[in-house]
Amino acid sequence: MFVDALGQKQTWLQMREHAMQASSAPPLDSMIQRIQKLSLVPDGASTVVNVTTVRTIVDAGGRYGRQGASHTLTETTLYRDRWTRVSDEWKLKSREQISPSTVSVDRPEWSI
Amino acid sequence: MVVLDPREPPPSEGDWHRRCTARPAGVRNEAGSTTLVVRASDARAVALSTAITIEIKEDVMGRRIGILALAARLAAFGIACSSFPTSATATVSSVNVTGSAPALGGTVSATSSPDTFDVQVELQGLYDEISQIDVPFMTQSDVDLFHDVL
Repeated sequence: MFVDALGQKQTWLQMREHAMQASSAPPLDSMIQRIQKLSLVPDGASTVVNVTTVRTIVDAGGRYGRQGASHTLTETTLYRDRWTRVSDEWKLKSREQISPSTVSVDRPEWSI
Repeated sequence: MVVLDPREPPPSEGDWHRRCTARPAGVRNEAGSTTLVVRASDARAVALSTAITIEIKEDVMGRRIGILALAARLAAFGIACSSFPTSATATVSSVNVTGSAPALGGTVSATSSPDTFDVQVELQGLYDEISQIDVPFMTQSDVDLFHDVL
């Protein structure tokens, strides 16, 4: 199950559909998912994860400066994930967005 | 960002040594081995902090693991390995402290329990594995690999 920042729930099947739709979106330059906090729970583990994605866009509308210039967009979101152990393998059980996404433009790579 | 020394060639076989530096955030001693837990936010922070040197010599379990898997393990410690070669494998793993002990003074604290520590390393590896999948080439089976219908 996925819960977004507004508290709206989506089932795994809905999330799976989103994941498949992402396959046709412009590719990411990079993605980093870093565990900020981990707690063990009876059926697995709960993590707070900082997800940072970087993608390059062509700014056709001149939103970030000169029209047609390329920019890198760095998006950062905090999630709480629930993991469960199934047949000796970890499976992601749910993901809850616990912070609004922040997007920065042309953020230096070293600051990620 | 902490970058492993890119001047060394990709490892082929045998011992593999690669150096990186980071700020110490914790250290765990167990059965004679020392695991350094580091937190590094960016290159500037590292440059300004007390740097120590760690050496990656061999796997804790004596296993051969891929470079990406090693990168994932190091990432669990907060070490970014942006210059890692992505195609070679090597006998690698545990992180041994070779820096001077005084460098750790005052900044090191005990980390979480071994169970939590191991789970965090394992899950961080999964997160990194998921992140490494090239999204445009993701298949339905890739999506299902890391999820379950519960």
